[in-house]
Amino acid sequence: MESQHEVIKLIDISKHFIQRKSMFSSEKIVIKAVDNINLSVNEGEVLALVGESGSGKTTTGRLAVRLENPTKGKIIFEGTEITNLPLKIFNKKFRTKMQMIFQDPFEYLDPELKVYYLIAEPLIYNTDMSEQEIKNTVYQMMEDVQLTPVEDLTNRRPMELSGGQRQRILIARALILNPKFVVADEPTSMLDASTQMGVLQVIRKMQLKHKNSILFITHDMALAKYVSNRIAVMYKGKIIEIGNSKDVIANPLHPYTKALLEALPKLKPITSEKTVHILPEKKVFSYSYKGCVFAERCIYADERCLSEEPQLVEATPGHKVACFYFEKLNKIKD
Amino acid sequence: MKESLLKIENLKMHYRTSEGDVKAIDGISLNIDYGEIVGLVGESGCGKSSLAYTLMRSLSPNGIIKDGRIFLENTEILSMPEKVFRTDIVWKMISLIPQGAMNSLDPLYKVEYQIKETLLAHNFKGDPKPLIDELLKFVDLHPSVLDMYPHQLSGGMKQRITILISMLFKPKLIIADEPTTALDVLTQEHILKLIRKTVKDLGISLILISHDLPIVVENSNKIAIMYAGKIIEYAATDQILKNPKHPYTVGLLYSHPDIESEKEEFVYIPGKPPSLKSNFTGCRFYDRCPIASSICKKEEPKLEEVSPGHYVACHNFDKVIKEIWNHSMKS
Repeated sequence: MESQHEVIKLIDISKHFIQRKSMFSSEKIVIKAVDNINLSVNEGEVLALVGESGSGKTTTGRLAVRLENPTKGKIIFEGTEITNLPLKIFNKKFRTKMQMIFQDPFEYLDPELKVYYLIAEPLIYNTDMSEQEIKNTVYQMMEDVQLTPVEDLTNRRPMELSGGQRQRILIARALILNPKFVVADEPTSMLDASTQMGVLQVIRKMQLKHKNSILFITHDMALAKYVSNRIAVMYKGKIIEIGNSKDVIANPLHPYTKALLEALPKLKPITSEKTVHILPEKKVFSYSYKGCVFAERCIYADERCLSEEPQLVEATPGHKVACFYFEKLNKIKD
Repeated sequence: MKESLLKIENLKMHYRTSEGDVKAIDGISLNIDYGEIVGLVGESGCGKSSLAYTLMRSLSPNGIIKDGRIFLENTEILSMPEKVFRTDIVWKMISLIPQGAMNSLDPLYKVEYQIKETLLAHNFKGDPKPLIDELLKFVDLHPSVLDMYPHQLSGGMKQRITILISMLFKPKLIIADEPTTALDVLTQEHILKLIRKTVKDLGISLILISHDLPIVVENSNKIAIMYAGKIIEYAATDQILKNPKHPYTVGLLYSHPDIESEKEEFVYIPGKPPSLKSNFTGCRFYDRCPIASSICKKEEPKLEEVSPGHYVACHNFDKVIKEIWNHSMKS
């Protein structure tokens, strides 16, 4: 069923968290962080997963590299199902092939360790390389991610480095084993604007060189447009739109994607007051719903949207949307 | 000519630490007129928030004002007795929408109490009910929120409450310190819309502090760019966009991804801002600047008016073009 060029494939994946309703209550509520999604990342592709906080994008990324086990569904990695593989076997056979670049360069690096060791560590534990080979690989990697001058930096500790440099170490650590698949979880959200682009450029350059497949998680549509080939938009645990990045930005089909793009601040002064076509958020967030997840904030929603759940359908080749009325809405725009 | 609402003259504020002074604000002059929004942009640690807290005179104990004067409608407010400043200026003339508004409400008290507390602390006379109701309507919140605790509200609602509190005494100047950081894009737009409405309907002036250039561009009339404790460029928003004159401003402009442009190249500024503990002799941007010359190392450039209303602190401002960054990238 799965064709060759799909590196990783999530099939009907869900992750539900169970929480008490209040501290002393025995009543439980189910939070559907990720709810029945299908997603695949192709060979050599960057897929951006865009959504607001709490939409389930990070959980999806963690599921894909098995930092989290799904409640239901299947994960296929290069044709092998890895969903229920015992962790021991998974770590031995697959861990080196799928890596994660974490969000916070200030928290994910051991402050005691030197830069050289931080980058060499994966090689030491996962390969039989000689000391000299490790040294060469680490130096090459430091050049690649622009941690230069290399000689000067190898003996420093994370504390002495800037946020951008620390994030480069995280990237180097994740990429040094040349993994097939990488999840990058908001890798630049903790960085200043002037350094953010440098880090993104490194990720992009490495990706073009090694043809890794990347799931790039971000809340920023503008960033997604820059780094990705395709964009998937998530809302409350569902993928509501997916397609070629340029298509999704230029011709968004789902009312939520449209609103996101309308609300995004742009680099030009506003002349007339902006209108964002979305209803205000309800005070109480309901965790159980029938119908469309976006219905309560959608200005176009009718009874059908409240009672029946729209499935992702192909609107134009490769561009899918989960909305009953996307065709009608597009006409309104014109 | 009409007098400015706020006039900052050569302000210096240093934090005293065991390893020497951190020069968070190192000689800032700025005028703010009535009814305008001035955006203050800079990287983390450049002194933007320190400026906000200096204006409110609520610095941490090691924050020391070394020099400078601040005039609010021709009254000097730095030398004013603390008590007079607290009763007559804070909230009544200047108010603050603090950074991380989500955490600036007390979790133990209901919203109504927190609003009334501010009113009482500043000698509000009469019945507060009509005022609170009016303001609730203005910030688009249902009166039922008064009876709630902060944890029952969403991030956007909490931010609306802090905006409401900042407006209680109809001040002339509001300082909004990163008012939408940590909010989602859609909530952010609602809050910014409310801020725009506040300025427009009530004729309030506003200082909008943010690290996010697009937010400032969309919402301000003028933009001041800060770098390492100094303002390095100050001009009307369209001038900053069309005709940036400082190399740092140019780098910043082209390092922002813009959803509407087709450009595919990435521009970034190598290096990091200097430590604010150092003693600067030359330009603070020297180490990162692609067009620095020998004079830049010796002499600190002053903020000078290079065309009407456009201030720049750079020796080589006439050589600044976008391409300076592209060349540095390719090399």
